[in-house]
Amino acid sequence: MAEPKIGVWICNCKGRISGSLDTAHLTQEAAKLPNVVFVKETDILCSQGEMENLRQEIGESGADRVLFAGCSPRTSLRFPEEFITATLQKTGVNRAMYEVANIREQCAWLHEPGPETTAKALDEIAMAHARLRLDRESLPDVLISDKALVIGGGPAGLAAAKDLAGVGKEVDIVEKGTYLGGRLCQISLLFQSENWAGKCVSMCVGPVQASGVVMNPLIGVHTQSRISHIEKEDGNFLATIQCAPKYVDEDKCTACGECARVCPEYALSSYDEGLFSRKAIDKDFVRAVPDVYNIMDSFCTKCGECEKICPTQAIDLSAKLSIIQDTYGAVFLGTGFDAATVHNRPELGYASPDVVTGMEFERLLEHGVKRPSDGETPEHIVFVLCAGSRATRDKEGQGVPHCSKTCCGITMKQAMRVAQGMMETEVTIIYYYDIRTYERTFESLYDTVQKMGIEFVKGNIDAITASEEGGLAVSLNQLDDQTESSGGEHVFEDGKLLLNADMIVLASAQLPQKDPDNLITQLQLRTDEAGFPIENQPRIFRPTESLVDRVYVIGAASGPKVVQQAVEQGHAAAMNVLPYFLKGKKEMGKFASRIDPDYCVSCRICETVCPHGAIKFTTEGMVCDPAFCQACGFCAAACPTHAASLVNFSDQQILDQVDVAFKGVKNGDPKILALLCYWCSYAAADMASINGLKALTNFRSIRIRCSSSVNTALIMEMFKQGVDGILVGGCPPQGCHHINGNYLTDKRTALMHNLMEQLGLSTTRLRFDYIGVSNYQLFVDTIADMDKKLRDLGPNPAGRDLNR
Amino acid sequence: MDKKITMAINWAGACGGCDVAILDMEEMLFDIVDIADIVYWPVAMDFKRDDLIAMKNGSIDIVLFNGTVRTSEQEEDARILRDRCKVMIAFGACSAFGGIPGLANVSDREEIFRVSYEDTPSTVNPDGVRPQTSCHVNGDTITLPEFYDTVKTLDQVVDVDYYVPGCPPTSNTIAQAVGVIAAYAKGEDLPPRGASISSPKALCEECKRAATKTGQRIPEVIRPHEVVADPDRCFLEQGILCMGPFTAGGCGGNCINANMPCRGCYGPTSKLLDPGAEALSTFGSIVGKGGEDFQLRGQMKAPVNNIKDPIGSFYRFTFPSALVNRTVKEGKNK
Repeated sequence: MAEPKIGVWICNCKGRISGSLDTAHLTQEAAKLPNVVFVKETDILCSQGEMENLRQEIGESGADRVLFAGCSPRTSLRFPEEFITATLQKTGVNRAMYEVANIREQCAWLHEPGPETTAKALDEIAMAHARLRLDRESLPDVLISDKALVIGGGPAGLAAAKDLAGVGKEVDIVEKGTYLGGRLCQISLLFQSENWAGKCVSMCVGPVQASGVVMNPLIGVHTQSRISHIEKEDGNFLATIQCAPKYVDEDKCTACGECARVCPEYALSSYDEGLFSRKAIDKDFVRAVPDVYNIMDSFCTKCGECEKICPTQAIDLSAKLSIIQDTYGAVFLGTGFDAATVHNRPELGYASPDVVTGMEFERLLEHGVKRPSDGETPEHIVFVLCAGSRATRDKEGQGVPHCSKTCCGITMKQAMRVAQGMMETEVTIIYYYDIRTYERTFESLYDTVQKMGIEFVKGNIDAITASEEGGLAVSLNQLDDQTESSGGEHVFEDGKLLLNADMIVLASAQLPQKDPDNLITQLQLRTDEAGFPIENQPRIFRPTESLVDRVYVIGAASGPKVVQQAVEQGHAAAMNVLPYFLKGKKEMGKFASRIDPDYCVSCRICETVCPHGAIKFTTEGMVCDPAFCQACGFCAAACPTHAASLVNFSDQQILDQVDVAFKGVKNGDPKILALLCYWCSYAAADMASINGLKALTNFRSIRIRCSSSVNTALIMEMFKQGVDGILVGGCPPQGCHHINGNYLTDKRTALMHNLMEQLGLSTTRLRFDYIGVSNYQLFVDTIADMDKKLRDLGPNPAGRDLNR
Repeated sequence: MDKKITMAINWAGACGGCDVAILDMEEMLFDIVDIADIVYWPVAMDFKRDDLIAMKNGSIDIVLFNGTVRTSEQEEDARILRDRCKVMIAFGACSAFGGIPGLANVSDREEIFRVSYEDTPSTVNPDGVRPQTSCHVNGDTITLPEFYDTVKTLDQVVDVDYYVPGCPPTSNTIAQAVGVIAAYAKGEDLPPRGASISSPKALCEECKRAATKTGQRIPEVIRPHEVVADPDRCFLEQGILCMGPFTAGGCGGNCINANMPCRGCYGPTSKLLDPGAEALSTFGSIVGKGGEDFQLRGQMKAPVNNIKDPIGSFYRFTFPSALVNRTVKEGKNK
């Protein structure tokens, strides 16, 4: 490899840096560093003029990598790393071949003016220089397929598909059901955000949404289909779609319905939540799209009646299932929600046919509300809110912890429809602590329902059982001090209340749809406790995108929501993927993990810890796909054989930095190293001086990829090199960009402390703290506290020759 | 047949298992004596130290040195042998990286003497007599070697050409070492200086249980005596700490085959900075069930805090060769 040629630009920030330290001295000393071909002190590097000069100076000096000494690459508002990368693009220097010595926020501004501050700045330049010498060019761009895979043909998936096809991109939609539109089609009256309860009907908007998709030649619609296999390959997704046999020829079928008329077999489809039947060959509903009759394989006996009767010979019962295999650049996971989440809660009485979920009641409203057990019109319907939800207070941790947020509004709508259309039927709504009718529409519904005189009872379900009179009995536990129902008809006695009902509607929780094809595992998504995939953090930067690059989780698959919000998410996700699709490639950043096959033993530990699903197991060993890697470095820290490492963040680069870090620290002063996570803790150290705080000069910081990117063996090596104290700073709890890097480091530090105690090395020497951007005072205090304790302790005894 | 080469075998701070392992080679011993004259092997043959001292520098071709260097006498032996030989082989885990005796580095001379000569209940030593490097008896001076504070590996005392790891080295490894000796005798190419007679890859590479790995976290660590391990599944997958991923392969997996996890006697693979701290980094990353966002801090850290005795678990055979290779004392001017 050719010797590096380093250009150094030292900015005095028009006196805001040179007021506190001797930039002329820095310039003089920087010129003495190995491989430096150019050094210049500049007044204000970020100015238009200096940027022009920079281009010219790089050209003339032949520098192939640049060292900037100036403001922080993390928090500078004028010269942050995004700006540097964009600038380098124009100069011909590779975007990875730069380092920044932060001599402003973490030096000139943070310390009192004087020689110690200059000495620290010089160390910072030497550290950046040590790292820069070993920098490598960024990996080549990765080609990204501009075809999208939408899993789930609900309103969210349809929205994403329409947008992408609208800009000329191909999309495959894989829907397990027989029609497009998902739950939108099951809910006859839809909410809208205006102050109207539900004036828009799904039989109207459903086909509009779905037809736009079916008619678009760029969109492949695969109903009754599933993803049998999906894996990441070379930056893309390789998927195998298994499509049901095409028994009915779409071109020939006129949807006349003759086949269903003669079909002797009845079938249950998810459309009616299993409450009503259809024929084995049928359409689930008249406005279903695609407008083709379909056969439900598990109910069809292949008797051949339909084949015989079909006037257009559209039916071929010998059709076989087909397999499609293709490469996609993005996956939209719109698999929706599971509403039947009350099976495992015996106290809710769901085993009785007259106890139904809210989704089932939607279908009953459509067909005319009758008791499923005997077909009679119910005289008293009881709605139960939070059925199995919000299980954190009195429900002893059973059930679903979250609020599904839509159920209160939906229940108000359903209660109102009963009250308006079924004059003889009494309605009671049982609620748990409170009613959550959020946003613009639902509260007015609640208001209307109250004015209609519908009874509300606050309580927690004790049991729903069969009553002696043949109906249902609801037993409630009292909550708070409310002793009677809204109208006073029902009163709690000794904390209990009993009421009878003919029918009960459970506003059950929305949970992620069941995942029989293990898509979550196959895509290596991380999920929360309820099973919803976790979004990329922080959520405002890449909305709807999961922790896995270009896997977008949309609609109710990402959490409870109403149809309108699901559609909005579909559109948002499509917009997010467009830059990749329009360029057809992904530009690789400076850092990426690489696994050396010569040392990898396929122990799969890297795969276990990778939060971004970038590592996969192959017969040739573990392989990291750089297009999915977000360079958190978990793999490097966890790899037992050091086969995994981060490009441009190697162990050697870190140790080289440590080696030169403390030249300017006075003898006797503790040498404190702060390993600060890329986003939070490093920014906190910057924010300290931005907010006017001062700190001691004897610490040096290294901006690490994540608090969890540094192997503890490296920390041990730093102690061996004579560092007196090490602070590892990570994001605050629930704030890690990689989900759990801060926690992993907390745990590793605990384990390291146990080892240090055994070794006789004071645990004061290694400290982990959760330091968020706004915790800059904590950062300064922590450094001061460490300094004091380390002074009391004396020099690090592990830094000496120990072979006595 | 060319002229035979000469060999010496030395026993320093070790249990004697390495010598037994050489004897266990059975008929393979004849392969050795075919090509080599053993000129020094105090434990098995009638040589005295004076015989060794009398030899010329460079007159021994190969030395197999087993055991740690704990005393000044062992260090002297090592230096004499180094001078007398052409190829120095650290034989066995103790001389290569410290072995079990190396765990004594959690203590020091003062503590060891105090416990051994005063504190143990069976000791009767009212005058507090302790070993001295020299003492006068009836006008004569009697000397003893100095007992060091710290157990050292062979390469911390003299240059080492090759390492034969294992506690003790398995017959297969010894056979490979004999191969090296034979190559030397015939003047053939030798492995690069500093090489270890083990696999460049970790034990998992050759472990028959490796295929059962699924890439799961370890919710709770289980110690080997707490459970009868599944004989087919990866130990780590069962929550049992196994040093296989950190340890050079080549041993043949005897422990694994006997349903015991690897304890690390073949030493770290070549890329590791430190045998134990690396393991700590790995286990700190994968122990605990995940979902930390929903746990209290103490609850989250409990599974790693349940890992007992990090030195004994992670540095069982390698403590003297670790980055921090013994216990230290905090405090100014200590």
